Amino acid sequence: MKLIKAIACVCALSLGVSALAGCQKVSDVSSAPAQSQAAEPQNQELNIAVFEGGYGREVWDDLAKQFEAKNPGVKINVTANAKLGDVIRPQIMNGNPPDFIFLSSTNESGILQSLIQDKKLADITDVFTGDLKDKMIDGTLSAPTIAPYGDGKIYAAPLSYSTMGLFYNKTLFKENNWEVPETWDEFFALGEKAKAKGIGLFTYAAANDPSYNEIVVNPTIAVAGGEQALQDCLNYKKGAWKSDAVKKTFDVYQKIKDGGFLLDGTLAMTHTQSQQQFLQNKCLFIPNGNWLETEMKDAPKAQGFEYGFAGLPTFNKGDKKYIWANCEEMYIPKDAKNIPLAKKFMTFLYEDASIQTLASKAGIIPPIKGAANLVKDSIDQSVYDTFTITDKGYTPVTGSYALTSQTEVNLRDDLYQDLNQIMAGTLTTDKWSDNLEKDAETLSSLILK
Amino acid sequence: MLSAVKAKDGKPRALRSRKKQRAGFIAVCTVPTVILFTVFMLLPTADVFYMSLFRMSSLSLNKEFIGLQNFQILFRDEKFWQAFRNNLFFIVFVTAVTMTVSLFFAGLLAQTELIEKPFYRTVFFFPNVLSLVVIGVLFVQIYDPTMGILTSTLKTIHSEGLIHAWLGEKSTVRWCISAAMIWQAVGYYMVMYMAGMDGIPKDLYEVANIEGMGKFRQFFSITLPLMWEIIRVTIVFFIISTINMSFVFVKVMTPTGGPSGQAEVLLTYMYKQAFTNSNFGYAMAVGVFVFLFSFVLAIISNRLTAKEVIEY
Repeated sequence: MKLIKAIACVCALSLGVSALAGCQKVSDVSSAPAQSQAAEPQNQELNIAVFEGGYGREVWDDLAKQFEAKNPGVKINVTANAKLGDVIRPQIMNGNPPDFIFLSSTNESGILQSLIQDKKLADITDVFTGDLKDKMIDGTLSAPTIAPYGDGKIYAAPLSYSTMGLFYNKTLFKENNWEVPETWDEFFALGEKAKAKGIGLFTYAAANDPSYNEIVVNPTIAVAGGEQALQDCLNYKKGAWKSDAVKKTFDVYQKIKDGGFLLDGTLAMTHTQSQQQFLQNKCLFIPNGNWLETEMKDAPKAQGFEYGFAGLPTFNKGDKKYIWANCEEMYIPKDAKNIPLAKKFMTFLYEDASIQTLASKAGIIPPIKGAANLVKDSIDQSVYDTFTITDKGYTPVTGSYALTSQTEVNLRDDLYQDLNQIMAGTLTTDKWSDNLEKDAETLSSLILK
Repeated sequence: MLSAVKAKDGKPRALRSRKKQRAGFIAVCTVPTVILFTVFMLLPTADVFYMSLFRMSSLSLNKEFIGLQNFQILFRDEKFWQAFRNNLFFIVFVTAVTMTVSLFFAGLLAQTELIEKPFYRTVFFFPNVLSLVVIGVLFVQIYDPTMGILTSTLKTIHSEGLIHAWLGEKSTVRWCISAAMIWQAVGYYMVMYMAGMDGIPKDLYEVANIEGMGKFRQFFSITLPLMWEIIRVTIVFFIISTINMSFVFVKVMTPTGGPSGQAEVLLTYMYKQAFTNSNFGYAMAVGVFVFLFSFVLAIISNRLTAKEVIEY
């Protein structure tokens, strides 16, 4: 034991020295950008780093060309990667970040959250002035990941906007004369009919991303208890996760479990596996987003398969209907070399021509009022349907969990891991609420100011 | 001895210079390794200890010194202890089964005169040639809930009652992952044990045969004691490799760490905290724990298995 202690001491000492040396280096590098900023405006370079998964890289190469054509002397270097977080993390650590990043806060790398916690994002409030501010869909500029410090200042901009809900196969419904259910009672009644035909009612990506259920859970809390009930949950208010609204929502899942409505084997399915089952008429509904059609483009489908998009059922006919909406963020690191140019690029992305490119090449639609109609001809029908669901009386709700300083507690993760446990029958909804309430209590004291 | 004395008396200067030469040679040979080892092993390890004292994100741009707070949290974090328990499960179960099975096969192959011996050796060793990720994916396919061979087989023999969502249920997930780890490791240790068994003089077995000792008795009374040193070494290997391997298998087979973290191990928990939860300092505290844990475990297992080595 003495030996170990001795080794530990030596380790600790040697590391102290080396780490201090390391710090020195980092700060040297980060002071460098100041000099380069003084360079001439001509021949400017803009390094953009974009998430490639699902969207591809072509769209960014196109946009880069268009921007270069508009701004002579500017050269854009595109870094596109499906594991973008791993690529840019070392660059950011060395004080040499890209000028522009498009990587959603829901990405597992947690880059945006880290940048917010470290206060290393450039203030981009002035991008949203005048016309552009009015054109943005309501509520999209106030989410915690967009304006994280509660002072109204904007540090990240929503680039893609999508509404999410339950997908179904229109053909299957037509063949059986089934109606899309409007209430949860109708939903389960339909489930019984489907069961008689050997079809499951509900499935989701239990094995790799049960948080797809956010699409159901969040708006349903809003339906049951109003938008405030949901915001209280997202902001870790005391008692929020034990409220009636949450209880009613959790009971829906308990019913799915108790009635045997979950597609067999769901608990071991990844998102692609569950989507595949859905495409082959093994299951009626799957919670998903507008990327589904593109993602499963080449997958085998049941004959005559046609994507249908339904909002969520409500508890009673006449309840106010909500639908979950999500934004993917783009942002500029504080240490970026060319912040003004990066801002200009952001503004450029919200222009009509750019929106056309974004939509037709990648199915990305920014949260600009009327954007969906602008690009109607160049997007899939199901994507269009997700956008126009608001015309059918659905109110989009959006938001994200209040950001906190570093903590080991991850409420969102616990919420959906526990949901799997409900489906496996190893947890009660009361215990589920208790667990989350406990998490919320810890987190509420750590919210970033 | 005599010649050495003579040399010392005769040419002391030459000897000293030869000694110097020898030291120089040794230095030239070892210094590069020492440097590499220091830069890539010692310093990063030391850095882990240092970083565990800070509150910082995975970008480490703003660090806040918080002393041992991360460790305080560690000791009351239920998820951490769950990961620790899972790790213990893998270490104990996978080690026990792998060791038994590979010893059994090694004994079988080393002490019988099968013509297909080289063939079996290759077949058993084969999984070691594959990358761990490939093996993980392979087993994910086997356990697939809709088209996996396991589920299909059970359906064919009309045992639907036995079907589970293998990697998605608390009761099955750890066993399923263990199976993959064992399949992967058996061949490697079997080859090691066979090498050890080949080193045991054949005449011992001949005598045993003449005395009428059964094969099992021979195995426990001759083979095991004589290759005890090798077994001791492999136990340390087991512990270290299970800690490392479990990360890959868990990550590949259950991306979220299994249902409610039932398959989460210390290293996947560390990874999750560092890169998904953006809680790097805390993750480093987990790292420190893993370091000390494997260190202590190796020492304990070494002590427990210490036994006088039988010379032959």
